[in-house]
Amino acid sequence: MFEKIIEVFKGALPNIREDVRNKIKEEKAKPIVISIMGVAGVGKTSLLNSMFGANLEIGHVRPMTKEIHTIRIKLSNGKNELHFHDLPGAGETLSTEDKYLELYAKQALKSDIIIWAMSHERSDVAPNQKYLKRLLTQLDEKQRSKFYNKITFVLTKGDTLRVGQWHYDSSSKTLKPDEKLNEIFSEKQKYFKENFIDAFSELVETCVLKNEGCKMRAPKENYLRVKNGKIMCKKVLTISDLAELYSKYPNCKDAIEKIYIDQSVVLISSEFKYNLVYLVYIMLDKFEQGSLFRIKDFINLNNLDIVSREIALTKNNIII
Amino acid sequence: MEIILKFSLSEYSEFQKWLEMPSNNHYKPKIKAKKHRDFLEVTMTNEANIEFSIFRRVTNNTALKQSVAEDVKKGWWHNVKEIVRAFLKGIFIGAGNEAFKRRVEIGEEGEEFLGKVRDAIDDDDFWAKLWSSIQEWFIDQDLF
Repeated sequence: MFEKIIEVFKGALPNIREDVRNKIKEEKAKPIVISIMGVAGVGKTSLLNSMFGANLEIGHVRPMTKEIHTIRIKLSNGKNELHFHDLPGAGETLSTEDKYLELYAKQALKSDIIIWAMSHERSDVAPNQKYLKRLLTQLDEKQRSKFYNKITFVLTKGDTLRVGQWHYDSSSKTLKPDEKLNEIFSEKQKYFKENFIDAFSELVETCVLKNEGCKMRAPKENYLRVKNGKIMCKKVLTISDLAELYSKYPNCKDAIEKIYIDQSVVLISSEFKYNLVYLVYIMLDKFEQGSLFRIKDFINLNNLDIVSREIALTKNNIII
Repeated sequence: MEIILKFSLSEYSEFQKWLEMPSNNHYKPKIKAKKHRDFLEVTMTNEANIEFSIFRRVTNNTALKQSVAEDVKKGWWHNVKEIVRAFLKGIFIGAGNEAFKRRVEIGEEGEEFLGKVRDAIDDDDFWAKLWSSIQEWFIDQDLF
């Protein structure tokens, strides 16, 4: 039957090829749409500037509509456009009616990515959790899961911590935190993970592509599902889960490890370009089909962590 | 479960830094290192090895950039594959495409054959085999 199918397909392939090309062109021409939830001053604009090479002026963002602040930016590469929905964060909307919350949630749902930006201070946990729950109640069950799994939780302004020091690595032109900072970052990431990922585990469905050689088909674990070359995981994985899954599916180690990594909260510094590559790495699996065709042209991976020596010299708390 | 790994001296110094982080204190009592001439033989728990491996993966920007680039490419082609798959399924369900018109050439068992094809395209293994035979039609570097 296989040969027969191939023979039949070959007659159609030139047409399909053209259709596929057109579909990709169409997707590539669309803007990247990002929704960022977060209070004023949390560093949303800086994050966009450092990730996408945008030139948004901090503090000079004008709302285009009364309800949702949408900013359209032509990126420095001259050909792509970024649409950025600046959605209010926890604390800014306490008096907001539910109809606006519904609008925010639905607008975010239509975006390519949702970034939930928070300060790394522990005091930010309760209001953000409460706000996330309020937003989720505006959506039906299916939308709730879709909305939640599109979110990447980000802790901003890692450079403002004054406990350790940063080192400038002249050869790679990157800034690296010392061990003391590393330890604090890791604790903060764990703490926020408990509160924003473990605490919402009933909504979690992490989806990754199978790695090459992974033959997982019908896993016995009721929280795993395999479809169209992807693994879907409905559980927040622990290190013990990983150990067990690695021994059961040794050929799928990379994909399983990626599930664990995707279920993280990332602490970044836009100023020091710290952890931005890690952030993109996590965001990739959250993109839907069409969005992934666009992302390559939007992010300059090589420059994502580069800080010039001249700029590094202007920063505080850095050993060069 | 305990495992034994061989570390180069530089790898071991990286591992030691990670182990010194207070959050990894609980692993210390179970980790032993034996020095050889060019390497260290380290006995550690499987969990410690997994955590260290993840730590290395997310803190090594050069490797991470490589992974992002690979994932973008992998995701890109996966999406192309899925578009082709959807088109092909459409052909065998709907009308108006060349392949569909050619069904007359399939012979008397045509309908049954088309039904089998529809099911086969949904099967990941079959689809992987089929894709490897037709991918050259779609792998076009201009597209990526």
